[in-house]
Amino acid sequence: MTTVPLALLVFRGGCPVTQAYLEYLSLHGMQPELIMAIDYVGETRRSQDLRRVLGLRASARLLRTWRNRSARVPAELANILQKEFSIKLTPGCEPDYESAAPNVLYLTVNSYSDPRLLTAMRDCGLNTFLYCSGGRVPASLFQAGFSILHVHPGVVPHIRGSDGLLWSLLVRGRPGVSCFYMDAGIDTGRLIDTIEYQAPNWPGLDVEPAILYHALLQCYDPHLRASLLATVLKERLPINNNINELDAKGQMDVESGHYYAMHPELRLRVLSKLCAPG
Amino acid sequence: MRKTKDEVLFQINDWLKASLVEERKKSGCTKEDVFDLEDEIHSNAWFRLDDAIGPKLDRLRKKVEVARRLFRFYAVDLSSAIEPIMLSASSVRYLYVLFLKAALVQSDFRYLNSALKIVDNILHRDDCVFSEELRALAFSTLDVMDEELGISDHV
Repeated sequence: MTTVPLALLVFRGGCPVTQAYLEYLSLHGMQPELIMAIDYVGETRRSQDLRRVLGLRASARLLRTWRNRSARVPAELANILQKEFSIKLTPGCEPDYESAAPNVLYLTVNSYSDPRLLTAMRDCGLNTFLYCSGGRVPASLFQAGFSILHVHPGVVPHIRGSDGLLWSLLVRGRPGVSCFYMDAGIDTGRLIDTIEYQAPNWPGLDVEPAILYHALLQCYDPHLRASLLATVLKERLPINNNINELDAKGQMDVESGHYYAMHPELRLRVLSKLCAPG
Repeated sequence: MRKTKDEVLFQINDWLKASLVEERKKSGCTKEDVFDLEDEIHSNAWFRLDDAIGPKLDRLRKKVEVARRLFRFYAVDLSSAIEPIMLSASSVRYLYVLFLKAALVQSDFRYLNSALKIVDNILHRDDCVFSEELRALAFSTLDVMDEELGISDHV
């Protein structure tokens, strides 16, 4: 088993891509040197209200449980969506971090911009992190000089922003994924690799659109992202194992605006095509 | 029976032209170094969707999707609002139809996405009422783009 000098930034609770990353790395004989398993409250008003009542640790733990519960996908649907993949993800069940990496650091923070997170990253002895979550990374993390890898659902610079899987299907006709070093922009960092896949289809699958959408994000999209990550690390890691030195280029200067969350009506059209009878 | 692209575009242009005449009577505020969205979007350049309008329309798309607010007065580069005066409800409707036109003309689903969200009241504007006819225009646009431009072919 090769230990890659990489720390996974895992914001715990409802994060299916973490399990995918760990499983795909393991499949290729790799493991990250460190997992930072971070319980967090988050910045929504409801979360912060909860923190005021329960305190930081208890509220973060409760929210983690709630997020994991929300991530669940009916087993039958999960099986259908993952039929083509040898690895089967179990959304809502966190992986066993202790057996997936030699070092695990547990941490509780208020939000991504909590100084405790920055301190823990500075003190962990590694400089390259894999961001296993959505949303924007606070600028303070980039100013600290870390290299932060991200695998984005969508081929950049064409598909930047939210709902990358569905926009890729709609605009490019197939799902795509990009691996890059993050910078302060949205999906604008130095690009390491991209890949596009065949569009999936599940003819005749009869599932409520909201459930299918959730299930795709939980147990289809993570496979595509983890597969590219494992390929990049397996094929591109320099002999000195320095993960900061992966060959990366600035993105093409394409004048294109971002994609935002897809409206349910558009989403419905895309999803219905995925399930159209053959 | 579904409308063709030309029919929907005709309907969009028709609505915009009618609104253009009506709005021009109301406008007239001019300040230096200020982008008066109320005035600007009713100009012919915006109606024609000239090349120079593209980046501005994209900025407005972001204001709808992210800021979820539309003001009347912005800095010239549209980076920030300079007065907390809301864009009028009629101009919100006008922008909505402009988004539909941009979606159709440029085959860009992003504009349709923003238009659909405006109809869903993402801007939280109780004063901004959309007639059934105006709402239906978004779905006609969606149907045309679905059939003629590609959801069916792509996915």
